[in-house]
Amino acid sequence: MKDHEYWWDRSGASDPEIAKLERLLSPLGYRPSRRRMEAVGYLQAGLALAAVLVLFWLAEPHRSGPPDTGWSVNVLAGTPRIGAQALTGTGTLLPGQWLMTDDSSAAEIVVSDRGHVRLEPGSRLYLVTTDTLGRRVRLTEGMVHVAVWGPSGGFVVETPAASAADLEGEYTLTVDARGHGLLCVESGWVSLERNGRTALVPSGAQCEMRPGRGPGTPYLAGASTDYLELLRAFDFDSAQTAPVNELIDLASPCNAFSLVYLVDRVEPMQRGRIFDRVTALYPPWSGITRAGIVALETSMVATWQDQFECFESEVCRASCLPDVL
Amino acid sequence: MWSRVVRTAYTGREQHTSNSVVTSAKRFDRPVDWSRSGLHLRRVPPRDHVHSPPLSRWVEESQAGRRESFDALTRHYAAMVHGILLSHAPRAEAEDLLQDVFIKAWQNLGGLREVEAFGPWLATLARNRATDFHRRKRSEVSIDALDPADPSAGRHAEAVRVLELIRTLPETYRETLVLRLVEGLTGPEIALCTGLTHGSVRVNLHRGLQLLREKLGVVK
Repeated sequence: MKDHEYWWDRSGASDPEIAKLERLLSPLGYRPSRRRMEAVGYLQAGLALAAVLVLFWLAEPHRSGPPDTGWSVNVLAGTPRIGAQALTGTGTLLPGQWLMTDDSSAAEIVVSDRGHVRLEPGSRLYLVTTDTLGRRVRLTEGMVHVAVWGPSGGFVVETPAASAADLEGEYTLTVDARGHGLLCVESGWVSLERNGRTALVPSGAQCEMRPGRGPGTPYLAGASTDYLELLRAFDFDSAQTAPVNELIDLASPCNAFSLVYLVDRVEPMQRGRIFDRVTALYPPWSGITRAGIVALETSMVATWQDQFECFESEVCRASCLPDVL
Repeated sequence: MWSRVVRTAYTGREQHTSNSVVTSAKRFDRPVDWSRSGLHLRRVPPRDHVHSPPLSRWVEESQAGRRESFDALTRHYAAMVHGILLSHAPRAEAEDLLQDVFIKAWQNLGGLREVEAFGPWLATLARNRATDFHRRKRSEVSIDALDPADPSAGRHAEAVRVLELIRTLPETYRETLVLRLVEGLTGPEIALCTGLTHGSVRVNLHRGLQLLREKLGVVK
């Protein structure tokens, strides 16, 4: 039995019978309310208003309670700086201060008791607030790795292109010198938002973002170069005619996932083509119909996207990451 | 240009890239072997984290009245509760029963003395709720009817048939099978959530799968 542990913990080679049962039965399983996740987009906008209200509340003379305290920072490598102050060992990052690393230094921020944020070399991060109503930092350049647990949307990373709010999980966020961002989600969900444009990025997926445009369309890390170039043109290049048909033609197990997220941004005829192409690769969960997707029935579209909630296609994994298998 | 160490979303391993993520993707842009079987979606269990969710602390904070901590517990245990309910009640009822279980948990959390026992305690609440449901003799007919012309209706009917077969198995096997095959929890996760020992879960799962295969007429 030890040689065939797939039935126990999915280790080892896949057991075809069990895998078949999983495929058949998983649509009957628990599905978290996606509307709750979508509400995070509104939550982010609401947090701004809440922050204003909190400022008024703080100004009340009778208010008592802990002030907006800082977070502990540990040096991981080299000599990071908090403002102009070089950091050795440990320090405290206060709201309104910058934490900066050069090419040979790195630091870890302990987010109260909710997790940690690792600042990689060559990064600049500004602490906006540690208030429990909405912990918020701003990454202007470099890379952070975030592993924070707690209420959905309770930790926000602002970038020049979009704001990332976690729905409990772990992710990496990178910003280059142009302000272009890349989000890679390792577990859980992360919501990206800017100027009313939102993207919900699940575990195993990535999403690019551009200043002035906001987040693009999530995709799997193994998507092909051709597909990514077309997707970028669709997401960010307003001068080009949207290459939707070409995107659909390039659909494969590695990129079908992102097509599902395009349905509410394309014409009805293209929605039908997307449905046909994706469902040829992955049969839809029960209750999801072509007519409903073409008509953009909200709950049906959300359910279809939930089908790819935590995605790991065996074929895609094998063909896209041969070096690590 | 991402001239940084890039952590892949899949494995968490680090790769040094000298170009953008496009180059990173190009390395893996190989022809897909369409002849491979097993092309499917799979619910991936939560990956191991360096920082595991602080379940005991969430329970303590919930007992102190913090709703956001209880919300975190709800998200963490929802699949387990849903699976237990599904092994006893129709799918159409499981969603409502799920809400009932967590409402009851919130109302009675103060009586829980050992915070580490929250998972097994919650599992017991779920089983009790399912028993209560049957006592009230609600309709057993699923309301998940589909348009017969819908191409996905056949698959759903087959899934419901297999679930019904699982429900005919002894209770200890039934729950473990639903948690493994329907909710996507692994054996270790089932043990962690329900408080059963790894050995008990292993036996339940192994024997349950054997019985299910017999009922399905599958020769192994």
